[in-house]
Amino acid sequence: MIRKRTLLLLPALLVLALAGCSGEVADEGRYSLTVVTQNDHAFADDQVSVGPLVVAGGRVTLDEGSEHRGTVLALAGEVRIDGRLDGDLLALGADVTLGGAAEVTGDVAHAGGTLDSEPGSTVRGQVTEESVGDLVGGQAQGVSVGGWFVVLAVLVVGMGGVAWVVVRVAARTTARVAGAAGSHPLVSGALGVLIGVIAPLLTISMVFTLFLIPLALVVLGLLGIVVALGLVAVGEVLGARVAASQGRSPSRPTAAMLGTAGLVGVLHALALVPVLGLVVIAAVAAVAVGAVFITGFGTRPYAPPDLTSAVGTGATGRPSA
Amino acid sequence: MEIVSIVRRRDWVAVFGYVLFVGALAAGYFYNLTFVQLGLVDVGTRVVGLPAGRVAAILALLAGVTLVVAIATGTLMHRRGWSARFVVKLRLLAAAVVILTVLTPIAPGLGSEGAMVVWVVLAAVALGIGVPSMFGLTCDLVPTRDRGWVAAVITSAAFLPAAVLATEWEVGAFARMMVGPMVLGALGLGVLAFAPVKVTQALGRQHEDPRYGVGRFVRVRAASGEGAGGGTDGTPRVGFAVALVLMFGIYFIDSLGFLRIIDTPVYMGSAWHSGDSGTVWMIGGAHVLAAVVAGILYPAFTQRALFGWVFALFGLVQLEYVLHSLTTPELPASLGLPLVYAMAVSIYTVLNFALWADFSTPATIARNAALGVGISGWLASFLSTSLAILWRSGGVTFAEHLRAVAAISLALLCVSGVLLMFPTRRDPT
Repeated sequence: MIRKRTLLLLPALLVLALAGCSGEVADEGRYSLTVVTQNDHAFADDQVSVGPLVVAGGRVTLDEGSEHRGTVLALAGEVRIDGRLDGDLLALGADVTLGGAAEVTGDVAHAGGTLDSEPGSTVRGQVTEESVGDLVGGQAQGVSVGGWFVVLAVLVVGMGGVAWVVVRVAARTTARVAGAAGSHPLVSGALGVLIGVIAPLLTISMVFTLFLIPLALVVLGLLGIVVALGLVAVGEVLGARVAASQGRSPSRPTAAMLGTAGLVGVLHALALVPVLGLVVIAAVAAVAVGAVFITGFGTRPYAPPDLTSAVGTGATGRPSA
Repeated sequence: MEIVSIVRRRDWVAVFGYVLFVGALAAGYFYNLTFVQLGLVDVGTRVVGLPAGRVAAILALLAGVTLVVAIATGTLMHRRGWSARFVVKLRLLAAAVVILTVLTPIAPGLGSEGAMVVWVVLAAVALGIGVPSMFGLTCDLVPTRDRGWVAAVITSAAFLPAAVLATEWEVGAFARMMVGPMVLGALGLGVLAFAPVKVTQALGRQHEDPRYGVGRFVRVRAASGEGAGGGTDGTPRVGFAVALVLMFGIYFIDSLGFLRIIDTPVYMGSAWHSGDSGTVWMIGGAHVLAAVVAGILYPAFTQRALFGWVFALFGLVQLEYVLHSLTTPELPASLGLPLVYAMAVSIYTVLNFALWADFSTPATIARNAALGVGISGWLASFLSTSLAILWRSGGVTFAEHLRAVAAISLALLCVSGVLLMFPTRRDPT
């Protein structure tokens, strides 16, 4: 049965993957996403770089005579442009300086940090000044009271409903995943951390090849399903335990619905806590993902290896042979 | 965990056994990571003034001699029955530590290539003696159930200070940092090994306890003496050979790849050799996190599954380095890349600390550890260093070098994937 499902799933994935393989090359030359997080980096005279440039730390300098083709997103650190920027510049938190020889063909949006334009610098597009609050906080403010509760309600009701349906439809699968998450949270979490490291590497590698970008999207989609399934399983465990502590024994779908709704609600609230909230959310996600993988996507129950198999059967300090 | 019940029983001798084992292996591995791997390069290139190729050749000599001495010592210990004798292992380890303690302060003053070669051979003899004697202590000091987390503690205790403290990569600094603790360690081991201490006698009997002596991958004969099939006495069998090949592959890939990365300033300056304390702490933290993960997963997974995950991680990390070297070689890689590399290294190091003892009984642990650590660790280092020298002299570029490494690691990922598909009928786990 499992093999049949797999065989049915494979063509669907293949179609999905091929459906996205129709992109065109947008420009000639080398394509890359450059992310700078530390140290000094100078684009020397006559050097041409292509692709989005994200500066999240360190110092980046486009020397006079150099050219960058693509958007520059300056989040933190320092950026000095003395060459030609063939694209937009979005300064969100970095200290940006447009030198006397700088030429920016696109727009410059400044919403944080500093933006100094020396005499002689040229911006062909528009220069706009906005506060970070306008850009980011505007939405957050809207969300802060009413919107936040709307999102909470949607998440709680939506995930609760999904949990009820999933446990009804795939009772054995969710039971195995929930069993792993409930009985072996440490092992599930450790595996989840490992997958949390490997999955981005895998998708980045695929994206680098360009041809496999659609497949990377499929992988990300599958990972989303895994997270959802894992959350439902963790929710079921929590729901059942909370109900048991109250002396109640709801049906599995009901326990999953209530537990998942409560879990999602708590996680949504925890997202407001700066560091600890993220750590808890990451830990829950790791347990959820690990529990799904450790059970082979719910196809088999997880049982740890029996470490006592070799112990106590004549092991008396000498080899038994 | 056995440690919990041991502490509840207030069995402080057994607790001391844990501390002794963790201390010895963590210190030994820290010495290997810093003084041997980085300090000797500094001796060769800066102190003696040799070209990089000659230094690499001397390091290959170190790996080769260590391999031969380790296997010879392990075999001798196996045949003489010393493998199961705690005191003998402790004495051999004490001797190795004394030799290295004498050699360490001499290294910064080496004045010629000949002197360096003599130093390296003597150090290799000590390291070779140390491998089976030190790893052989596992069955005496660490219960089978606890080997995963103990290996994680050792890995963390070695890698975190190596990443955070050893930032100068200068042999004099390494020597100054290590001589004091090494003298104390040599004295302590000497007292334990040669003085009639009750603690030593008690620790020497622990391997007779069923919770200690026999590894999880050993199939022990039933009480009747009939074999259960396959390896029943800790003698290397198919499972051991597979582990040996895969661990060799991991060390070989790591060494071959890292040899070139370490020579590339754009990678080292932004990661392992960064002047930014935040960066080196992040790398140290990644080592610890990965060690914890591996320590949890080691007893929870079969060895095949563990190898599969390690190769998956290694293959992808090497691939990322290749992609970076092909796209933006002039810019440092993001910190995520060395962090993931550090995680992969920590995971396989945890495996290395626990695996060989788990294929062994007290009677076979010295030989098995010598084979395991010698072939997977030192032979891999010897061959990868030699191959790196050959490729460099043949004009192989950085990108081509890493591409080959990525190809080997992905091929081994496929091999481990195939192994994963075989039935596990003969595997007790």
